[in-house]
Amino acid sequence: MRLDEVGFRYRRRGPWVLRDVTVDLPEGRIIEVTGPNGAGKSTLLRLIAGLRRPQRGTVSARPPTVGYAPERFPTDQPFTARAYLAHVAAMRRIPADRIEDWAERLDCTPLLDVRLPELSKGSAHKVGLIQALLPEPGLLVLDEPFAGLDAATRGALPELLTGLARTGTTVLVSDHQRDLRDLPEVDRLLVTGHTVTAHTGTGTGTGHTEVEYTVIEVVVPTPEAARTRARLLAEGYDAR
Amino acid sequence: MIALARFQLDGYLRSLRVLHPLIAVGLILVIFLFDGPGGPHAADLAVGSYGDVAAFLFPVAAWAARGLLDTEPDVQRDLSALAVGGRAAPAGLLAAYLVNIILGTALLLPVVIQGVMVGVPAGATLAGIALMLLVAVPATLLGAWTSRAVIASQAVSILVLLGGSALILVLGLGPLSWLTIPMITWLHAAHHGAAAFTSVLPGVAAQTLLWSAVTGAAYTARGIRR
Repeated sequence: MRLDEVGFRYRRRGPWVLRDVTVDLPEGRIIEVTGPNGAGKSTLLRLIAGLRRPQRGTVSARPPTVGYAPERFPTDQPFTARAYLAHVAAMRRIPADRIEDWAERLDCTPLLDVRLPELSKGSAHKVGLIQALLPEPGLLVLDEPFAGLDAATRGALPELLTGLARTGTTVLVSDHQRDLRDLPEVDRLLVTGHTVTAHTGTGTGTGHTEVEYTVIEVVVPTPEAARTRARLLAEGYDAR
Repeated sequence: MIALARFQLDGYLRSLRVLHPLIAVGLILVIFLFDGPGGPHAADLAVGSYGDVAAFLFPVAAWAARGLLDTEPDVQRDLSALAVGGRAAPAGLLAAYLVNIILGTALLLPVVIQGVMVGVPAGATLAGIALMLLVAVPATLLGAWTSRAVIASQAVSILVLLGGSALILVLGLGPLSWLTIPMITWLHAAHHGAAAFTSVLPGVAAQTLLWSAVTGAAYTARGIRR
């Protein structure tokens, strides 16, 4: 899949959120999307998923089946999780028994009979993940999938995504917390300054180049340490 | 498409939003039942009621369609579109039309029973049923065009829905009547007896369906382009 000189803005005369975005999204890769708040990560993910159309440029070779888990799953719906997912399975024309399989894998079987508005943030997030995973998508787009998840699921999700990538699924993940940083084969896109660059890793962007790493020391006042680390993480760097 | 329509119908019924137009239908019915046809011209009066029912149904059905489409949260609308692709907009219209047929039937059935009891010809009764089925189409489309996916502001969308319903009626009075749904034509004919009512139906149907085809195609194309 490829984006060619893509530009997007929400209103006709509004500011460009993204401009001149040209990236390759190779099949079977996990791609982490990073960048500061408000840089346009979620907009980029929606463009890639096909939820928005770019005003400029083209998006080509998108896999036919796309799964998308939003940053905030819409719980304001009058269904139990099971009834909701059964509707999703019917819309996707897939067997409903996959619901139980995914609920088991994400350790949320008891939540299936809870009404969506009564779910906690993390539980709702799991329902959002299941609806995205159900159709076995060729392209899986996850907007902040780790937010609000319990430690066990946070720990299990990278392995699950790696397994999907091995079967050919292209996985895009925006991740402020950098929960994927320990995975060896993750490509990275940095969204900043209204555009997107292949920042680190292998296989992303034009050229598919190996990147060398250098360790630098940054000295900041103690009260600013946490904020600086968070900022560096958000910009795609590894900071400890 | 059918699966998404069922999902939207299920959500609409479970959310109890369907009660709003049902209450409106109940109130309108009270007027018709308390002021039923009587006297030597009871049959003609009953045919007039068929035309009135269709006119009353229009704003209620538009409101119901808007309510059904707005039941789905914005993010869910995106997820549904991802699941069914370009069939999302037609699915919403189908679900809303089905609700409007049920509302129309609830409104028309007691009036038809009254009409049959006072001797309205079968042809006029069938024309009344056909008119109800027809009117639900543009009403559904007006509701869709005023739903949150098109007009984000609730205040503006209500204004457009009410203003649009009034404009459709008023335009029928002047030289621009060819631009609108021929509500005035069918009301006028229905109050001039069974023969007049049945004779205008083909023209009313053609104009209504043409209006609906244009607005429906634009609505569906809008959904695909987004």
